[in-house]
Amino acid sequence: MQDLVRGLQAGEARAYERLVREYGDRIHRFVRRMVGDQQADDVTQEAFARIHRSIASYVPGGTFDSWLFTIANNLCMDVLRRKRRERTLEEAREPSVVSRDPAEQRELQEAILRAVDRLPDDLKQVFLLREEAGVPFKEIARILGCPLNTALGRMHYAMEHLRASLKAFRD
Amino acid sequence: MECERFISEKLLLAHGELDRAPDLQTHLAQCVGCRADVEEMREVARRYREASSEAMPAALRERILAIPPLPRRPPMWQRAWPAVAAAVLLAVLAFLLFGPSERRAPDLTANLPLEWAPSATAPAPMAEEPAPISLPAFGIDDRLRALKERIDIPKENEW
Repeated sequence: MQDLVRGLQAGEARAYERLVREYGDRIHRFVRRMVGDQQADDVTQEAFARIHRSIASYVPGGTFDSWLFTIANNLCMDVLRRKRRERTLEEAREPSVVSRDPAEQRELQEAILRAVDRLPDDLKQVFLLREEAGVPFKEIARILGCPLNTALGRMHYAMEHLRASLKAFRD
Repeated sequence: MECERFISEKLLLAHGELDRAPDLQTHLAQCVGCRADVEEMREVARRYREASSEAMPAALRERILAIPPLPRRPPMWQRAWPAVAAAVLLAVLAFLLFGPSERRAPDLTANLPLEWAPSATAPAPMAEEPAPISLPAFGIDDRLRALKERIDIPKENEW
C-alpha cells in the first residue's frame, strides 16, 4: 500500500490506474448506496478528483482505506444534506439499486439491497463503512467524530433492520 | 435479538474485531439467542457482500482515469534553493557593506622615502580645546514676564 501512496504522491499515472482498479468499484458501490443511482457517478468522479488533489497532503495515520472512504463519505453526506432540503422523504427512500438491472439480481440479494437502501442515513453510513468499505469500527467512530459505542449502537440498529427484512422475506 | 447482553461485543465478534472476551465466550456457550445473534449478523454481512458486487460503469471509469495528473512537485530542497541562495547573497552583501570596522585602508605611505613618511614618534599636534558653549540664562520669571506681556489682561474696571 505504501508504494501505491508513494506512486500517487509522485504523480505516476500507473499508480493512479491501480487506485482506480483496486478501489473504483468499492467506492462507487459505497457512493451509490449512500446517495442513490442518479448522483452516484458524479459523486464517485468527484471523490476520485479529490483523492487525486489531496494525496500530496496524505499523512499515514489511520489506514489508507479509511482515508479514501472518509473523502467519499464526506461527499455523500454533503449530497444527502442537500437532498434532505430538496426532496421529500418518500422520494429519498425510493429504491435505487435494483432499478438498473433487476432481472440479474436474485430475489434475496434484491431484498437485502432494498433493505440497506431503506436504512436511515446515519445507520446506513455506519453499515456501509463497515461492510462495503471494510473500515473497522474504531476507524468509523474516528471518521464520524463520535464515540465507539455510538458507532456500534448505530450498527446494532442497522443489523436489527436488516435481519428483520431478511426474516420478512423468508416468511 | 432475544438477549440484550453483550450487544457491542457480539457486533465486534461477528466482524472479527474482538481479540479476547472470556465473559462473552462463557455467555455464548450458555445462550442460544446470543449465538443466533452472532450467526445472523454474519449472515447479513455475507449476504450483503454477495449482493453488492456490481462494477463501476465503464464510461465512469474512463472519465475518472481521464482526470489529469497533478504536476509533479519537486522535492523540498529543490523548491527551497532559490530562497536559500537569496538569503546567502543578502548575507554576503550585508557583510561587505556593514562588516567589521577594524579593517583599515591600505597604507599609501608604505613605499614613500623615510623622510616623506609621517614620523611615528612625533606626537600629532593637539587640537585647541573648544570654547564652552554659554547658554543665555532664561529663568521661570523671565518666561512668566514674557507671557504676561503677550496677554492683554483687562484691568478691574474694564470687566
